[in-house]
Amino acid sequence: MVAFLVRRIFQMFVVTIVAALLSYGLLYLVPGGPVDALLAERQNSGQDRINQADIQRVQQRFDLDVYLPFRFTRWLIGWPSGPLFGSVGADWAIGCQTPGQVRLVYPDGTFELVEEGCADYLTLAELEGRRVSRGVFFGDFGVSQVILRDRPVSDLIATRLPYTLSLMGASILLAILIGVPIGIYSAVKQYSRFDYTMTTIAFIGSSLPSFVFGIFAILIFSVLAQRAGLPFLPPGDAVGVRDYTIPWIGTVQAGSFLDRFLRFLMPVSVLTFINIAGWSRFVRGSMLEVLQQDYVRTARAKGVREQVVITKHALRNSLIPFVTLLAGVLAALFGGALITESVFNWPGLGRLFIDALGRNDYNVVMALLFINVVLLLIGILITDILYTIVDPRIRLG
Amino acid sequence: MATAPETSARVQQAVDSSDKRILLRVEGLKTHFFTDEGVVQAVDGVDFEVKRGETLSIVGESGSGKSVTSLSILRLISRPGRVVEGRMIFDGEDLLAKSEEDMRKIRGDRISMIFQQPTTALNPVFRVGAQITETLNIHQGLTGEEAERRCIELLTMVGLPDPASRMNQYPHELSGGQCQRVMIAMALACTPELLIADEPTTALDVTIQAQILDLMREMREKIDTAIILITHDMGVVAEMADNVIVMYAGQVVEYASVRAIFAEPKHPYTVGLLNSMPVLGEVREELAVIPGTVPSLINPPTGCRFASRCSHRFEKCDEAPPMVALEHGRKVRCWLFE
Repeated sequence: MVAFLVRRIFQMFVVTIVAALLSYGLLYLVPGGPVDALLAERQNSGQDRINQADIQRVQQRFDLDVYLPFRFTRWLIGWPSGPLFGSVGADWAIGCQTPGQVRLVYPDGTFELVEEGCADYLTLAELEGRRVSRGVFFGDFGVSQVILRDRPVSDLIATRLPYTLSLMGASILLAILIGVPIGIYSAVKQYSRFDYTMTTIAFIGSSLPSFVFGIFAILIFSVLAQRAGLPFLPPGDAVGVRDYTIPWIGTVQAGSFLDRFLRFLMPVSVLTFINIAGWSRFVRGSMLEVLQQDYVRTARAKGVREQVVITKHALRNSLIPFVTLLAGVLAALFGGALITESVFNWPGLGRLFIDALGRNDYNVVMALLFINVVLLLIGILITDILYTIVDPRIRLG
Repeated sequence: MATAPETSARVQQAVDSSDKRILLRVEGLKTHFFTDEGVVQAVDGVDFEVKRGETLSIVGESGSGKSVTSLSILRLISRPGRVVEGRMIFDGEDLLAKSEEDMRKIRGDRISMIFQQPTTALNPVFRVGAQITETLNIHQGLTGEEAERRCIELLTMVGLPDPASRMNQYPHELSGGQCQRVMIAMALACTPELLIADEPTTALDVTIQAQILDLMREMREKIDTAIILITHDMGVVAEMADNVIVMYAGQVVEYASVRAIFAEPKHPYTVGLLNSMPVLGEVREELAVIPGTVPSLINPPTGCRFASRCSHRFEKCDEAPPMVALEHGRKVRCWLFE
């Protein structure tokens, strides 16, 4: 067990670094970023508003002038932050402050300035005194570069986390509590009307994309209900700005518990519905397979009550594959629902991720990806340990 | 208690059926499966009797309805199958008329069953001891140490070495033969009056097969239970059975004592079955086979079901043959003996 854990944690460590490296590299390839945002501003507001010095300052602040490998290690572990051992390599170039320019002259006399090489290298000595995070590995995700410029990413995540945790926690819990019994009952009553109904609904639930349900829910329960003068639900946001009146219920104060609850209802229902579809289909399939097994027939032939056959002999076995799904739950809990959160303008981590991705806020994107990778790996580790508990045939080793 | 000299007496006795000793009488049992392709008449009008302490063997090819017959007795046929007709009088009461709850009390207590694949017939996530004590708990209300003690007794009885530690193991930690011993211990836990053994040795190695057969014989002497032994292995029949039923395509085609079957098989199908058995020391060009295959049970032939594969076929075989009673209680379903 100890040997297993040591080996697995070492593996997880390696996987995390590789995953971080790959996502960092991918993100680097994506065009855009804080400097592009500045340049866009410059175009919009006249030549003189933003000059080369401004750009350099922004690059410096966000380490964008440091070459990618060093930028990555500075992000990961906060190193290097100056000459090594105090003095070694003070003049080593690890970045470029001002790109070099080459004058290309065409035969017809016109010319063009092309960036090439480097006019002013960034040396290790110049890194000294520059603000650097302690490194992701030590829990410092750096600062946001676009969304909330200069605010620590951890602050940004902390303000969004409760929204995601409540939304995902409630929907996953409800989905398991409802979906698992439905799956079991569906399997036990295979080909019954209940089974047909549930499998059809589950099929629809797991095949339509989630924004369809979100948009239809808003259309029916907000827009049409309000138009018809029926009680309606607020279409989005987690907290209201203005008081509003709902027929039969009365005035709802913005920011009150009722306001928050009403706004919580729709996204959580949509997510629960989608999750129920997934869980119940999975449990049904697994249960159906187990019910075919010889040992279930043995249990019946022993005189075990049918109810006990299902809940003890069959269920215990059908939960073995079910444990695999739990690996993803931990990551999903913190990852949030990208699409549903966007549809309902829900200020959770899922929407933060999409925002950050769209606006090239590297540190935020990387922080969320990194947390997700770590949680997923922890989830898988827990799953592997759980397996040995549910299935005696499986040994850690 | 049957001892060796009594065995031959028992064979004689099997022929004249004194009603008192009859444990189970199956009459006109029909079990059909209602599938999308049509109604599969897996068991179509089967009659037989089992006397107390008797070992009755049911033989036939795959798909002849042997297993379905045995599961029908325990009423363990699940959808889309159903017992559509017949009576199964067990100790004077019709099993088909019993409520599900009464039936459940009979299963594992008065009638128990062992299966073909011992390794998959045990639940992989429970310790074998717990699976045996569960039966003791259901039918005898034994719990805790009392159940454990009885469990160790049972495991010792079926010859599992070191039962006290074995009972804390999971099925995957035991071999196939050991699992079958556990299954037998579980089946005999409540000293049933009838034990249904559905090909109990088919999945085992030949040496283990012999051990398990020895064990079953020993147990039969010990607790005086009647056994319905389902098999396609005529060797097993010769070793174990008092009387034999030969099934073909969902029907009983012959019933006789084990000696009579081997000495003088009547039904052409039985003859074929016996001829297709390899005999040690006998040199043959190739193994005799019965030509053709079992007919579809969705639309079985209206006449004799074996006719298409029978070498003695004549005009009359287009009509369904009745069960013909012969001397010594033998029965055969064939126009040749009319």
